[in-house]
Amino acid sequence: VLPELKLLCGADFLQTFKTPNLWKEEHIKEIVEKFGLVCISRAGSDPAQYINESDLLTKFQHNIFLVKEWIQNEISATQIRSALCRGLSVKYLIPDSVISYIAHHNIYTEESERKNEGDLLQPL
Amino acid sequence: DPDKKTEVVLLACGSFNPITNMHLRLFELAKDYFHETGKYKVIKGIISPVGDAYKKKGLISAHHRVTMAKLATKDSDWVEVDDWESSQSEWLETLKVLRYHHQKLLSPGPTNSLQNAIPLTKPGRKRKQEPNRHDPVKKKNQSPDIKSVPQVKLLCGSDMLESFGIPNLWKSEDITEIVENHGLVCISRAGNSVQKFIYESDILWRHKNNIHLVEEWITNDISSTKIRRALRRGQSIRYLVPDVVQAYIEKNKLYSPESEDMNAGVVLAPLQKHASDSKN
Repeated sequence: VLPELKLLCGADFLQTFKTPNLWKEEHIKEIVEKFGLVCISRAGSDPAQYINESDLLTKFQHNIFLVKEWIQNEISATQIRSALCRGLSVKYLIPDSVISYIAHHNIYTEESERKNEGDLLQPL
Repeated sequence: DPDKKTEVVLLACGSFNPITNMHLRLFELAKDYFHETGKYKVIKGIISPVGDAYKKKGLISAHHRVTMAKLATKDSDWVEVDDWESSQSEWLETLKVLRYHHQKLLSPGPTNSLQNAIPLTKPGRKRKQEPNRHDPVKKKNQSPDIKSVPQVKLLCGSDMLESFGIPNLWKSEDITEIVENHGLVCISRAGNSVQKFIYESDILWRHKNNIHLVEEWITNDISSTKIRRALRRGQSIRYLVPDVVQAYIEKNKLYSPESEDMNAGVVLAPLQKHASDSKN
């Protein structure tokens, strides 16, 4: 028996299904029907409500696993990049090895943040 | 002008039961804050775990808590663990710990922690500070110049600051001396109630320029209580505490329903002490 492959994501990812032209309807259907979703969200936010508002997701809700994150940790990559550009410490937010790598290759700068500025996202 | 900056040592007191990434973040946030003012230079961070005599529920032995804190800071070049407080047989007021560390910085000599704080030079790495730069023994005047003696400030979260309001937990003269002679650095989430708490307290308001409020924008809800709870339930604490701490906890099987029952029903040492002080 093959292991089941499931898509792991946060609540904001789930919400992006709503963004016009970002996802193909038939793809969302195949994801939730054939594979399954595991959605981690903060205590206090309500992905169940959002699923309820979508007929498609409601139909396959047995294949959408909602996990509550009780020890909240709101570390977004956007904030990390912002902190790095401002020369602020990100120690204990991301692994030390990743911090060293970023510093060594000078990956995140004001310039890198401007990459693709004004361009349309490929799916759109 | 680097010579005009006030040197600051950050002291964090608490149970550290266990130490978490949140505790470690407090130091990083405070250091960035002080450096951005351009007026201060943070030279050292000290973690001082409370002694077992504190009698808090669920408090495991100081030996383990100190060891975990040391493991967590072993690759930090400025934050260290001090076990003076935890090795005392009686519980000590936080003010006494502040005074002890302040005194330690004033007295020169082989055990001067300022000397010990200087990291060994590694190839390609500059020394952060020259030794004997501010040697108080050479100064002629008796009262230390505020800019040449490092200040020891109490580093905490909003919960500790607001605990000043819990009856009998703190002596008001201690709170006064802490904010007047040393200073507080309080890290909290944006939109919190700390400013209101300071406003409502005459003592804190009077010394508000010595209470530094630092906002934590990348919020972090990792409390030791939640870590212990997750461990009792067999849940993962990875990425919430340093890997070495998680490994140590697992190896020594710390934190169980039994350990959480430690000191159950026992009155917390400060409450006990202040209740008996007021009787005398």
